[in-house]
Amino acid sequence: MLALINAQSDNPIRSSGRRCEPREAGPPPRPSPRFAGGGRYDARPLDLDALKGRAAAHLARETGGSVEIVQLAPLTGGACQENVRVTARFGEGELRGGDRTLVLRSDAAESLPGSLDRKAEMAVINAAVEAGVKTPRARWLASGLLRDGSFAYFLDWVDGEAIGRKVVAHPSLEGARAMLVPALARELARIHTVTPTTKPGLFAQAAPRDPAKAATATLRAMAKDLEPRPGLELALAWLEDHAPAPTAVTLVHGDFRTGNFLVSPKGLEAVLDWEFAHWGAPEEDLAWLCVRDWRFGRLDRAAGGIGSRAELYSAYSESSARKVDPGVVRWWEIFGNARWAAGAALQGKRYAKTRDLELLALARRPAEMEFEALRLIEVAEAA
Amino acid sequence: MSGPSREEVLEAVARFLEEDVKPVAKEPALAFRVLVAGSLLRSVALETRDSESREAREVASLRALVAPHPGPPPAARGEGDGLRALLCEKIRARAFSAAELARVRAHVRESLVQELAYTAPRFDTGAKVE
Repeated sequence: MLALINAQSDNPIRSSGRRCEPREAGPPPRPSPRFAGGGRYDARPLDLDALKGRAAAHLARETGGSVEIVQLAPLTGGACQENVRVTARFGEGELRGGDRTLVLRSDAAESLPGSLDRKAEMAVINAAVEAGVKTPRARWLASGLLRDGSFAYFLDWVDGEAIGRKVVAHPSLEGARAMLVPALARELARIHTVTPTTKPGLFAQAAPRDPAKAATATLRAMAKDLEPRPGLELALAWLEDHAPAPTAVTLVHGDFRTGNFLVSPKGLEAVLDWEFAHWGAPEEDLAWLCVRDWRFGRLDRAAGGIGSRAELYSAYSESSARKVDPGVVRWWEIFGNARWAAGAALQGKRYAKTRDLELLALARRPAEMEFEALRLIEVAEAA
Repeated sequence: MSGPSREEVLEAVARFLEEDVKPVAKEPALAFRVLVAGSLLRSVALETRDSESREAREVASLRALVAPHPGPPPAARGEGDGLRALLCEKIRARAFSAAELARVRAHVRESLVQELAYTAPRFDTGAKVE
């Protein structure tokens, strides 16, 4: 799935979502938590030898042939889920003929609040694949493969770069960056063709009639668990008072930003990490890509640190036949910052369970997103 | 007080982690966590610097916004927490006039700038952002 997913940065202050990404500032965050209510599974360390046997048996059953697991390598880059690189040798059956590199993606011992489990995520991924989205399809769902009570599935490995600071700045990707924003816009347009009408029952939760109001109400509930933060409170009050009327309700990736797609010198290779997918407003995805934190220091390039906002809106409008209202996207960008601030603040509470220092580092970051949310409110009011 | 300050101790431990422990931490994930630990300590060391006077200034500003009456000197940490909670309640209740809200926003912005100075010293609050 991700060739460089476990590369380690030497600077944790500029680390991000995939544990190792460079950032504008601040200690290392994780992928954005959305809502309260994470789950928990058996948290004992993985027994790779036992996993080899279980994975081989599962793949053999699913593909109807013999399977040998040649290599297993846990990937440290997936901060939310547990990902293992698997090299499997297939004998007879569906995939006979040689070695294949796969990613085994499992529910983590401690799931992030609001994230889908792997069974639900697999359904979303495959709906996206059906819609033509460039993302590796998910196959061979398993229960209890890595941990009791957890779901897991397999993805084909895709080579590419996901580390944000490299995506936005590495010279080898200069050519790719030139065509990346239109490519991302096309993928978003494809994602947003999936609707509650075309895929009823894709999510356990019903689609909201008014995504902005529903999202704000959820964020308000999430903020109740936090120490009082006037910056977040100001942003929330503004969001409640200025919620845009609904335009459409579609599949929303929910974490569509630099760091969650793979890029090679050839261009966009794959969209990843669907665990925060949900029914919502398409503008939410456009806005999240533009959130300051995901520009990796390229503040002048609103679209993920890669290109301009105008280029993104224009390419998206062309691909989706939807008119982009910049004011609505701005509202969702303010919402994204507020949600990210609340999510970061909540991470400190998870430290006691995980003993993960990164969570403490994240819990010290809300001021960055609050500052940006208030700045954007000033921009909105001046418009 | 004699001896090193809290800030100096925290800085020293951060330096120890980054310069002595990190080079011998062969496992990449561990080496990364060592850096995270050092970074956290440096952030707390910065927070320690002038923390009492910073809190006193914020409490005074909060009092002017939500409890504009004479009170005891703004020293106790608990008072700041209480005033911040009260400010949040009033924002939630839409209790401020437009002019008052402008002052609230100015206060919150300044508080965030102060907080960012130790949680994210490289975050540019004056940056031109598209």
